[in-house]
Amino acid sequence: MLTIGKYVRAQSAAEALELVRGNRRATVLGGGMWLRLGTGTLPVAIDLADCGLNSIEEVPAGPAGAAPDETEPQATELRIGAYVTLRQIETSAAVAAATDGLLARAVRDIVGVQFRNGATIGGSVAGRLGFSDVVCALLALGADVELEGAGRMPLAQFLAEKGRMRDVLTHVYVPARPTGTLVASYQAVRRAVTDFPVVNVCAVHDGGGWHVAVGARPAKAALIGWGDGMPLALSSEDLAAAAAAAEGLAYSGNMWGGEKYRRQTAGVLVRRALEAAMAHAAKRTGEEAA
Amino acid sequence: MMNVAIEVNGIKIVDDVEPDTTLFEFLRAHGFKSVKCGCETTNCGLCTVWLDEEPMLSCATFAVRVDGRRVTTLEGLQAESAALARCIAEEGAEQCGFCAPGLVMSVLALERAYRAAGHAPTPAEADHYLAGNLCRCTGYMSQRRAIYRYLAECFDDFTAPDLFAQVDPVAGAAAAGKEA
Repeated sequence: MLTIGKYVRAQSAAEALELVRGNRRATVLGGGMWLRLGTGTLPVAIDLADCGLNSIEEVPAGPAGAAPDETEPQATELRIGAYVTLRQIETSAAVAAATDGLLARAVRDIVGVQFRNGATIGGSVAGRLGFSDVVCALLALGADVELEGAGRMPLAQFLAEKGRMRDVLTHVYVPARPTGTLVASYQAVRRAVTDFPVVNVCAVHDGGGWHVAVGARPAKAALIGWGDGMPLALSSEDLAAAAAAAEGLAYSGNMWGGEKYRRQTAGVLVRRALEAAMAHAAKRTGEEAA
Repeated sequence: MMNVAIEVNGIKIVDDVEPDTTLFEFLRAHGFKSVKCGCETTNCGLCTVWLDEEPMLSCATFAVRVDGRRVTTLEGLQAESAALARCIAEEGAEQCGFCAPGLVMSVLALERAYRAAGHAPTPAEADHYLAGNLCRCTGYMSQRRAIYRYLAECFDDFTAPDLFAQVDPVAGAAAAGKEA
């Protein structure tokens, strides 16, 4: 059972950062779904509920203050506050449009609606959780994170950092690509329908190339290092190369599955994700033409 | 200790709590015994209450975080839950009954959500919405009969499936694997 020494409602991300940096064991609360399972004491638990981090906005992309190019449609991105819940992500029309429905599919099997009403995107990302479905999907989508302290960086860079976080995660950014340019598939194996994934895979084609992430290895999600600049349509040789790249990541065993099982399953799920995404794109083109 | 004021079923309750007192502990300490703990791993849904009308797990919510907000437990939904309770009894759905309060909270939340959307859920949508409510006794068949019976009473456009129809698990899994 977790013990909290002092509970503080920060009035700004800057105040939260000061608290985090002032005490080695000060911790920012996300939804608290997993944190509550810990034993020991949190001397200071920081709630960001008053910091205005619970909305999803479409904002112009690109450097702040850049003059808009009048000949091109303004590129936009989704700015998702750290306290947006997984259920809000699941039901948001703006997120569905920007991600081809991917994030809803990625979170839909996480425990239950009540759990997702509490779990936050910030908590999922900041924890760099290995089993996280949402981190796997955000990595394949090319998301950025914004931290009070360290500033904005690609999610891949944030995930690669080691050690205790000394910044406060405030936002996740997802590029909002024009409708029709993004196609995505999410695949996972679970022993029971709402359990942790044994291994999870996300494949995204954004018009410029394929981005494929494998997570729950049981280590956290990683890109497979294949697919840059490749077209949407793939040959069987391409699929084999993608599966081999997935199998080349590091895997290990735990209670949910062994190393060999995970490695082989990852290869299968990558093929399925790519085939499903291509089929989904073909169906969508057919529907638009009809 | 910190002082909180939480409105439960329309009545403001003011009390001192520790920073790590959960909403579950707070509610039971104030007599709301319908709220149960079934797992201690944030997984079973038995402790489901509504926070500002949204279903939440009270075991994973610290009471200090809901200061000033509205909580609803089954004790506050006696009239609203009567029809569902009757359907549960008519189908002999319960065995030990421990999961029932949390399940009722979730079914009523499901009903409200789809009334707001203006149409019935499909059986698959209902099953998915309720996936976070575990039951250790029944294997879910009797619960689902009761819930579908209730949804058919609530919504003209709800079609209960035949729970005894044969389902091909291989074809079903293959079809699921092809979905994006």
